[in-house]
Amino acid sequence: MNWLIAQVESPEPGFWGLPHTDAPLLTQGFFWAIVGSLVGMVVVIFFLARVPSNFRRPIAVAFVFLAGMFYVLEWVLPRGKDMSGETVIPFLFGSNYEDAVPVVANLSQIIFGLLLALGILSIFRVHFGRLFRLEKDWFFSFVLLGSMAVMIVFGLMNWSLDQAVAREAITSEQASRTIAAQGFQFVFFDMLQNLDAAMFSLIAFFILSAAYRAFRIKSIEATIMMATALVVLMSFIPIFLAITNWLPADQFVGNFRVDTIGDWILDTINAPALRAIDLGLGLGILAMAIRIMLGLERGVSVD
Amino acid sequence: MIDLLAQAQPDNVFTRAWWDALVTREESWQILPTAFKFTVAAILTVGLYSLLYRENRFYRFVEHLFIGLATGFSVVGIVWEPVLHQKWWVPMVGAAGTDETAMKLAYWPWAVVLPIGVLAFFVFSKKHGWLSRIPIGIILGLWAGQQFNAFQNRYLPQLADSARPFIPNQFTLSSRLDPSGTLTVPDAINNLIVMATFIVVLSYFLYSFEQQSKLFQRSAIAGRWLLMVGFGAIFGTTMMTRFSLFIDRAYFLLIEWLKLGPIA
Amino acid sequence: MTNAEETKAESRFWLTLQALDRRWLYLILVLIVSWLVLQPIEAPNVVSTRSEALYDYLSGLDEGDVVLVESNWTNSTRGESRGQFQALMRLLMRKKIKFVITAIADPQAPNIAREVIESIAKEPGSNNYQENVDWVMAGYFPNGENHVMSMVNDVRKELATKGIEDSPVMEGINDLSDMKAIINVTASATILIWYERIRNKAPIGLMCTAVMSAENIPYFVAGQLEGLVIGAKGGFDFETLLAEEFPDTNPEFSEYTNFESGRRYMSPLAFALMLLVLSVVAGNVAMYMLRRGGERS
Repeated sequence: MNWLIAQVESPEPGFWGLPHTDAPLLTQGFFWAIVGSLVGMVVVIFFLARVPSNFRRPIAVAFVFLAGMFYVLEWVLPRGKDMSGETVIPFLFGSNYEDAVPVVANLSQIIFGLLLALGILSIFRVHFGRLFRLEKDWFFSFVLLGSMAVMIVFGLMNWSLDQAVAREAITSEQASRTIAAQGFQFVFFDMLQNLDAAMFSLIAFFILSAAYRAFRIKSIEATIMMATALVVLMSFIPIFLAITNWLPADQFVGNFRVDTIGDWILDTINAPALRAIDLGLGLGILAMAIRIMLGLERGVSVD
Repeated sequence: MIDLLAQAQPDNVFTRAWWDALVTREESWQILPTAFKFTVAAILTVGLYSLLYRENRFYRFVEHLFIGLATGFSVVGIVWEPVLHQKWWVPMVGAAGTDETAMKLAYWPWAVVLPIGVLAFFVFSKKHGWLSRIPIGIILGLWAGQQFNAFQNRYLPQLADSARPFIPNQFTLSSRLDPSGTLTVPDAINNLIVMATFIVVLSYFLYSFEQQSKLFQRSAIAGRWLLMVGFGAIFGTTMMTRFSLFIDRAYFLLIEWLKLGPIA
Repeated sequence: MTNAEETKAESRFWLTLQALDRRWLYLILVLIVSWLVLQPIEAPNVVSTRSEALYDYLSGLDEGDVVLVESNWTNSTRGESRGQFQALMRLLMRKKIKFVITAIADPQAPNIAREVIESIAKEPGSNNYQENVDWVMAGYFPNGENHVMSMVNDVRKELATKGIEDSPVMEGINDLSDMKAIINVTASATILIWYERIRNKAPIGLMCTAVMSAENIPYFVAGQLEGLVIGAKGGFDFETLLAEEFPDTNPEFSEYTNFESGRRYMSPLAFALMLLVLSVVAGNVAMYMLRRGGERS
């Protein structure tokens, strides 16, 4: 089944993989196969949309369950070795399960990408509506849509340059001198990346003011937390480490070095404590995964 | 302040030489593009920081610019290039061979996947909204199916490490020269602390109902205290990250843009 | 002044302190950080055992070995991740270890990584590293979970989707276990995916932001991580170890750059954190004094 991802090796053309030649597009089999599949899917969706409402839930649940079962199969199917010593897990129609995994992964990446596109479309809808109706603050929506358009144009131009370089139609030297590449460099590195960095660094100020106003040491818990934070911070800062740097590390007094104390807290108390929380979360996720697969989780297949 | 300027790079923007160079025709071509780019970046940075003084329209302008650029980039950088082009279009249409490269077959069945994904866009429709659950369900189902394997790989080594030997076989202090298999008294105590912490915190989490037994009540209190050690470590390291990011921006503004000090 | 007036003046002081406009606090932070960015104070480093473990492992690899570097950082965490990534690249290039770059967290990451790699490749000591010869860019993979799963399952097929399976860097790599290490330079939870799917195929090294460190230490303790490099201090650790292995006192290495942002950011960080501790103390003292004043009257 691995041939579906293509280009690993060049297998013989067959029903699933048709040849691509230099002949005009309209005379090529693969073109009509693609058109046919798209039309076929539109017909399927047309009928799916007309399914009576009491069948809808079972259909949605079936998709979730089948998708979930795919990775569970890895445990259920027997495994063996082929002549060359590779692991083989016999799957449908004599194919190898291991080969099906990348195909399913590819499929899920395509669907995932389209779900992200959906998110982008919602941002676009909100701001386009605001601009179109000239609502309050339409100017900011205009800025947002404008900068989005500029980035898309430069991004696509830069991408097609990369394609040309890959085809060896132009050299990367030539590509970097074009307006498209320079423009992309400007909007991506000089604008977007610096804005990204500045936006995230703002949080430092908010945490500082929150620590000043809200961190009140009123209970044993708060005291333990603050003391730990202090020791851990000290163990990460060379100026504080230098205070006890003169204590020999491999003698008894080495236990009182700032770095030793910090590491001891992190490895001996912090690690098992956070591990316990993590395990609790892991069990929760496992339970949720089972609920999702069985169609019991709200919002997935049940209203 | 005088000290600072003495430390500054010779071509910092507060020197006469820099401005002279800017208006000299030959040199301005070398300085101007970089100076322009850095200045735009610096103005945008200061624009975001103006929020710290108070909410203002310049901040909102820069904020929307940021969201627009980031969204625009994700159209090309997430949806088109790595997904629709590389994972869908290229395998689906293949490529005709050239003198140097072999022909790539066109695996037309990939065409079926696009309509399935596009079903997600029905979410905006009242009548056919349920169709969007199919692609979302496939993604969630695959995610859920992976969790069994994920749990095994991620947590079993963690559990194995939580059960540690605690009966010492050497009654001295630990040393780096100890051969493997030696368990000194301090190491045994540390191992006991690790196990006790793990059990006590886990029990604090799992017993979410009210406890009558004194033992469980005490263990819950101890669990909460030990948990606070973990939270203290998280708090400290969070502050470290946040401040590092601000320091980096200060470095950008003062050193990379204004060139007021030595690089690195 | 009478006693009552004194008490009143005192409580007014504590009230002012407690209700201090946060902008004063911001101003102090800006001034302290700016001053120390311009005039850094240098302190000797004590290298953490967690960083040293990863450095020693990588430094002990043979020339021509291949590692996978998953670069999941962008400028939003430049203050921590860039120092780590730069030091890592210097080590790999000086040791002639080949690498494949991937990204799963952010489509912007490959561009950022490439910029850093290209600038370090020009430095003395970097053996004139060439793309597609000594290193290769696989780029961004959406849906990291499935990507990692496919990498573990069949690394050649997964990288074939980016058309780099025939790159000279991939020579002799038929399975993920042929790679000597997986190094995740990250600012988000991408490493969890590797814990979940690695199946012991290759040792993992993690270079993460400090904020993620506490939750990842359990995995280092349990041996699921070969090494753990934390935040700007971790970058400084790597820089220190580079300087030990390639000292500029040795004429052969005199042109090498070992230290960069890791060391530079340490002293502003120390003083900014001291400001944090002081402000927590000040806030608490003000609360305590006011409460005591309230009890007295």
